[in-house]
Amino acid sequence: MNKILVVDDEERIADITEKFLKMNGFEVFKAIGGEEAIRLLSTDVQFDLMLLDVKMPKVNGLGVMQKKAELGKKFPVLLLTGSIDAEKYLEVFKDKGFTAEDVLYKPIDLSVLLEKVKKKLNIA
Amino acid sequence: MRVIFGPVNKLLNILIIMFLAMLPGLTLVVYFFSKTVTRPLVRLSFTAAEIGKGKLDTVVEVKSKDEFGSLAATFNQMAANLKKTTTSIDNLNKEIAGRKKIEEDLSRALKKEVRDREVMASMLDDNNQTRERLEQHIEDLKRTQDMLIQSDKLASLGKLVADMAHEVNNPLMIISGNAQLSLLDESLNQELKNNLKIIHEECNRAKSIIQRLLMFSRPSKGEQRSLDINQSIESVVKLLEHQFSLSNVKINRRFNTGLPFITADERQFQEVIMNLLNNARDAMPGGGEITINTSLDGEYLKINIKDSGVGMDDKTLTRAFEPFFTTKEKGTGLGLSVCYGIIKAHKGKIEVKSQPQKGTTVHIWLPLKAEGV
Repeated sequence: MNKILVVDDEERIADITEKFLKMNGFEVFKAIGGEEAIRLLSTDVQFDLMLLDVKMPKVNGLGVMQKKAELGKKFPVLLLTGSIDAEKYLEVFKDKGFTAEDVLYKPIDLSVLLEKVKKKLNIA
Repeated sequence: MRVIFGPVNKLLNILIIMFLAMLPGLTLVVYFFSKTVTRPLVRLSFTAAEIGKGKLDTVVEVKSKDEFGSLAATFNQMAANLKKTTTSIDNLNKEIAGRKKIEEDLSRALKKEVRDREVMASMLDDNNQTRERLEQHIEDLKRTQDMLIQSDKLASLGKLVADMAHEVNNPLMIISGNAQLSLLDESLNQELKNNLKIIHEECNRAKSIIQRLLMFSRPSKGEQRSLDINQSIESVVKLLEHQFSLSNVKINRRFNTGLPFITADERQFQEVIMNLLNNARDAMPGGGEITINTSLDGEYLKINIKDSGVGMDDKTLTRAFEPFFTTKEKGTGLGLSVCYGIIKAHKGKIEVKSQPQKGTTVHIWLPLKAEGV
C-alpha cells in the first residue's frame, strides 16, 4: 500500500484529502502545517508521495521541501495551492525536476487529484 | 646767230631785272602767306596731333579774324566738346565700373543671403521635424502617463483581488471537497446528489472566476514557446467564425505574412484574442464586421482588432480595464482586465480606442525580444 503524506494548514482540507485517498486504497499520513510535516518526515516512515500545501504559516511549503532534501528523502511531491505563488516555488525547485504538472490549484477536483497521484506513483 | 639770240638775251635780262625788282615784294608775299596760311595750319595740325594723343586741353592759338581764326575757334570748340564728351565717357565708364562693383557686391550679398536662407530653411525644416518629434514624444509620454496611472490603479486592484482570491480558495476547497466526498456515497438519494452536484459545479464556476482574477493580478508565466501569431489567431478565428456568422458578424483577416515568431504562452495569447473577439461581437448586436490586422511595428508585433460596433464613450473607456467593470448584462467584467494582465506579463502594451457609434479598435503590441518574460 502506497504511503502518502498530506500536508495542509487547513485541517478541513487535509481531512477531505485524507478521506478521499483512503477511499481509494492509499495509506495516508496527515500533517496540519509545515512543522508537523517536518516531524513526520524525520521519522522512519518511507513515504511514496507527499501532497504539500504551499502557503502555510511558520514553516511553508518551501521550508518543508528544504527539510525533505536535507533528510535525503527522494519521493515525489505534488504541490497544492490556493494562490499562484506556487510558480515561484516551481522556479526555485526547477532544477529538482518540478514542472507545472506537479501543481494542483485549489479548489481541486478530486478525480483530477486521483489521476495525478496515480501518475506520480506509476499506478495504471 | 647773234641775230637770233640777241632778242632772247635781251628778254632774259629784262626778266632777271624784273625778278630782282620783284624779289622783296615776293619775299613779303611769301612771308605774309606763311604767317596767315601755313603757320595756323601747322598749329592746327600740331594741336590735332596733341588732341589725338589724348591731351584734350590743348588749344589752337589763332587770333586772326579771318577764316583761319574762325577755323581755329571751331577747332577749339570741337576739342572742348571732345573733351566734354570724353569726360562724360570717362565718367560713364567710371560709373559703369562703380555700378559693376556694386552689382558684384550685391550679387555676392545675394548669394550669401540665398545660402543663409537655405541654411535657415533647412534649420526651419529641422525645427519642424524636431517639433513634430517633440509633439510625438509628448503624446507618447502622455499616453504612458495615462497608462501608468491606469496601471497603478490596476496594480492595487490586482493585489487586492489576488489576496482575496487566495483567501476564498481555501473555503471553496472545503465546500467543493466535501460535496465531492458526499457524492461518492452511493446510499444518498437522487435529490441530495443533485444538490451536491450543483454545489460542486458552482464551486468550479467560482474557481474559474478566481483563476481569471489571479491571471489578471499576477498572470501565470505559463508555458513559453515560440509562437506564430498569425497561425495562433487563425485557430481562434476558426473556432469562433461559424458561431459569429450566426449573429451576422464577419471576421476579416488582414495578416501580414512573414512576421517573426515571438516567445509567448499560446494558451494565454489565445485567451486574449478570444476575449477581444467576443467583446467585438457583443458590441455589434445587429451584426457587423471585425477586422484583425497583424503587422511588424519596430521592435514589436502589432495586432489590431477593429469592430464596427456601438463603441464606448470616454468615461467607459477609462474604466475598460478595471476588473468587474462591465456594460454587459451578463458580463463578469473580467475579459479586458485579464487581457491587460496577460499582455503586461508578456511585456507588451494594450490600448483601446473607441468612439460612440464609431466602433472600437484594440491595439496590442508584443515585444519581439521578450526579455525577462
